[in-house]
Amino acid sequence: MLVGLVAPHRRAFAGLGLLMALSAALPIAASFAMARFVDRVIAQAPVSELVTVALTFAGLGLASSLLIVVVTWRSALLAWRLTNGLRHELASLVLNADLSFHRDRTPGELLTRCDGDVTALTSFLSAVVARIAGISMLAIASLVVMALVEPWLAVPMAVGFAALAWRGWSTRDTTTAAVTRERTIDSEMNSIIEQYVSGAEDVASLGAGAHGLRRFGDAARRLVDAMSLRTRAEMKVNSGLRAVILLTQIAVLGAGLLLFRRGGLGIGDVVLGYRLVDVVRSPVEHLTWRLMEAQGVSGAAQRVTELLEEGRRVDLGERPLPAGPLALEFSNAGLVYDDASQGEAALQHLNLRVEAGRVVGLLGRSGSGKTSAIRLALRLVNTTSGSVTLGGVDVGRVLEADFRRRVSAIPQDVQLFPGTVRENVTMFDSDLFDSDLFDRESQHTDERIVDALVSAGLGPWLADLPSGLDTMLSPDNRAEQDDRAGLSAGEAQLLAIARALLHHPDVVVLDEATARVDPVTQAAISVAVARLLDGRTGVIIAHRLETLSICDDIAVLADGELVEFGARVDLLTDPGSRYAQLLAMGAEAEELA
Amino acid sequence: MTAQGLRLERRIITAANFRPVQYWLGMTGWTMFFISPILPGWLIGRVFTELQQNGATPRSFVYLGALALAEIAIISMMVFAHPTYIKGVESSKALMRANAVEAQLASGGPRSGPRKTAVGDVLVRLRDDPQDVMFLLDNWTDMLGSLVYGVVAFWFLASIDLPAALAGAVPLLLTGWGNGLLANLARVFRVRAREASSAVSGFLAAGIEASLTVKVTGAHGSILRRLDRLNATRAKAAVGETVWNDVMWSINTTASDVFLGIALAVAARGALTAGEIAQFAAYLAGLIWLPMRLGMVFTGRRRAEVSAGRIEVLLPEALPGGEDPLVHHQPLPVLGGPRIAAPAAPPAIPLARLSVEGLTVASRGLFDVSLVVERGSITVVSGVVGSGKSSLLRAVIGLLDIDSGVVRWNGVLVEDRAAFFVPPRSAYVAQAPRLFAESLADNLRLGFDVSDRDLLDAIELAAFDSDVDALPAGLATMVGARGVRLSGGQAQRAAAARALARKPELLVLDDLTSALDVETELLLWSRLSAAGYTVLTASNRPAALARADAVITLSATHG
Repeated sequence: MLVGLVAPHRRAFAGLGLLMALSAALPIAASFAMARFVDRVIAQAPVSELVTVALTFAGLGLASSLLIVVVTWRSALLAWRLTNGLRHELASLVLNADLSFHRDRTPGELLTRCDGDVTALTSFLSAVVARIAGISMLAIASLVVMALVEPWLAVPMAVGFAALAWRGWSTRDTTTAAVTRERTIDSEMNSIIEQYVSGAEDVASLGAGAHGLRRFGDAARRLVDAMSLRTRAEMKVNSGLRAVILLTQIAVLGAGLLLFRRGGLGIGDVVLGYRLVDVVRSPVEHLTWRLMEAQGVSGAAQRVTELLEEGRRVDLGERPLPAGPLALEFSNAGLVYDDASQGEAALQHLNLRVEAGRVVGLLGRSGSGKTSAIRLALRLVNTTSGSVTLGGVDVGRVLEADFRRRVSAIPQDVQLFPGTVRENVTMFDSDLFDSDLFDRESQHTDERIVDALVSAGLGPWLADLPSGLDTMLSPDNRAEQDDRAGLSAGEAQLLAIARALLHHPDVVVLDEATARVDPVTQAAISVAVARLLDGRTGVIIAHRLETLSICDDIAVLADGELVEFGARVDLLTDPGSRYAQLLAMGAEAEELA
Repeated sequence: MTAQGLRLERRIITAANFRPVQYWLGMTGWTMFFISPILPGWLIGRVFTELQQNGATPRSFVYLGALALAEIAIISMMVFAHPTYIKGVESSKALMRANAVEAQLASGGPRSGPRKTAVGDVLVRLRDDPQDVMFLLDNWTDMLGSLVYGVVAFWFLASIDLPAALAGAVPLLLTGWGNGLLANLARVFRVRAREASSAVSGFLAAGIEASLTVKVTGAHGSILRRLDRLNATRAKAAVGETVWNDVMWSINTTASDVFLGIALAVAARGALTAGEIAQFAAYLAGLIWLPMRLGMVFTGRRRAEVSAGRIEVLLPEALPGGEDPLVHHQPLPVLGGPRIAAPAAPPAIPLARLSVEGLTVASRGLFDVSLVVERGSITVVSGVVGSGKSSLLRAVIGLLDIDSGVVRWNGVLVEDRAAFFVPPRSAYVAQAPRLFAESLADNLRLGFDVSDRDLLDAIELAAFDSDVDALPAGLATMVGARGVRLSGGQAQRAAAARALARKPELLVLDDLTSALDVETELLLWSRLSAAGYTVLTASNRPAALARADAVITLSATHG
């Protein structure tokens, strides 16, 4: 995974390596200065010479200090560049993924994958990989220098450094399981907080706060246990590395004492050996505190890789759609969700043709397969048998970008983004509204946005907004702050109609688009919907029977099959048709009102 | 500092005392860890002194062995102290989170806090802020450890050569102090990085939440471009933060070499020994942390204060009995604590009539609304979108604050509406009700003791029975992200069953049937009506209006 990310930054890596080599040389030079100082003190050299050596040591310290900062800066920059590429790729595939992908995962979990795990990788790269590279260079340089000065001192040093490398390598995964467990429980706990806080009104109005607290408490307990276990595993790694480098230093010092006793080695050389291990020891100890990031990372990398692999299975299609109006056809379409529904088909052998430019209204009880049918039409799921074609092309094979440009959906629950009204209508499409660059263009597009909102029946609402298109929308539909606009469920759906109007689609899919709208607004929308559907192919699920008056054809579904299909006018005049019967039931209800 | 001024410290100690044994044992271990380098520093001095005076004698090897033992002991102390400390501090953090969750979920009463609807923001606050609050105590103990170490180390150095010790220590302490000032500036970088980071998470969370909308509207490319821009901003902020932190770390580790050089230059005028040089090298390095840790107590205090404030917006302002809303101890199963008690229901009061008089919520366009709900009746509130139907219901049962007006239950004024309007008195079903990632049965019970029989009755009453029969594992089916995702209509009826399972005197339904097909809708209303429930509902649906005993129409022109 990392190879593909690293390749474009080869030169930056080479530069960084060079800087690191340079920053390894300085502390080694300082060690020599210190050893010389000790030797010259013992030799009772003149004070002026001692002062010069001492100040040289000080100067080398200063230079090394500055270089470390540069190295840190370059490696952090590189790490962020690398991982921002990864963030882009992950977000892209999550946003491209279909319904079956999202059914298995909570949004919180996906956020952890796309953000938390990648951030773990980032700090691993900038804090750990870069430091390990620096330490390796220091260790090798120390060893070479030691071998040149006194080969016998280089022996324990070499053994110690090798043991350090071996220990580091062999404990690289010691805490992985514990860290993975901790993260899983942590995201579980966050998901519990997220669910209950967003459902706080439901819970509070049912007096069930203690239940939510209890669910939180159980997760919190497991989290504390998991963190304690993780810390213990971490300490095992941490103390191991510290003990190895410490014993190396003691061993070099011990060897120095033995050689001194045999004669031929000065105190300065012993000091040099001690210092040369010290220059490695201090960054190793610093590193041990950052190792948690290294340990968590193999789990994070694994999860990210899994997600990437799964994401690559998302088929974005390759065939373009033919120009002009498009017909939508279900041929023997069957759908079985692969989750807990135990193989029961949501749709079986659905045969339905929506002619180009005609609008079909889907009717049926909940669970009859209406929603599944439009999910197929929107390619949110793929058929398990049979096929769905758009303009004669299997929808599964249509180029994703083409498909989304030509097909607009008004979903059941309209999602708003934290952002302005303009951003929410254009869905952040900067080509449509980047006002910094194209000021005149932007006025032009602002007009289009306003037109779309007015056509969708949101004209009066827009006129009331404090800052017009620049008013911030509060994403949870509740205007908690005065400077933010809230939208009722009905108004949010009007906004979705405006979104669709802006994009001039060829096919429009409305899912219960009028369900939560009152009669007055209903009438206004009917006009907008009629305009939106004019000359376009449309599929509508509506519970208000009068909404169906826009439809050319009516399809009635039951238990995942088509049980009635015909021109609306024909079915209306046939008292035996299910459509006419449903209409009678609805009319009865209204008459009673 | 005044007693008021030490409120922050007091509340942090209260939090630390939640699991005192683990916390303070761990903390003591850490303090010792900071003091302990005195011993190896002294021993390395002895090794070189002995070497210079008498050569590599057995005694020098003894010192070397003692050095190894001392260092191993220090490492062992860390291995013991850290996990112990983590247990204690994580329990304290869990306590703060629990207090916030409790306040957010409370049905009125003194323990309820102002409800926040921006969930992403609440999550970030509960994730990061307890950490910053508890960090203040860490700063205190780190400082204490460094102070003891600093005094002893300086005393050793001064006894070797006072001018040299001063020449090394004074500029070192000044540098450390200056570095501490830099740490204040580092906060600016940190805040910027955190803001940039939450901008990314917030946008990404909204994008993931709405991923299917993004997909069907073809907004994939534009959303990603926006994300890339936010990511680039964050990278810049994060690199700034990292570099700044490293500047401080690198000054602290290498500045000691600079001043060691200066101190040795001063000491060179006297008769230095190799052992004394080694002691200078060992002790001076540790001194630099002292002023910085001292400074961190102050900067950490400001940070802890800000973080405590960020959690406090989720909490009530005060608790009866003067307990601290942020850190008051409550049963929590962490480290052997008791399990939180199941929810307890208040006594039932049979409803004769509910009356609302002169209710005004100006921000929602509700002015002087009055209505009466008689026992056994169905009262429908209708009106155009934005006329305030939902707000009226939420205001009546206390989910929304009102500007003026009263609500009476059997003629008796209801003081704390949020606390009063809970089962078995009333139950509310929101327009888009929330279900949780639990089994369907757990979702319907919400911790209450409801018999299977009653549960099945409620499900039937809510016209949800055929749906439950079709579910793979019936009532044990997992609902939500990891299980079966219910349709909008199914969620509404599940929530209705959840409300009915508690046999409330009053049912408050916000457009309950908005996502239902005509047949199911008619079935639901006929069953509710036949069961004789008292219902207050917001709806414009013919089926609801058909069953209504009274209709209240809100007009949008109120505002």
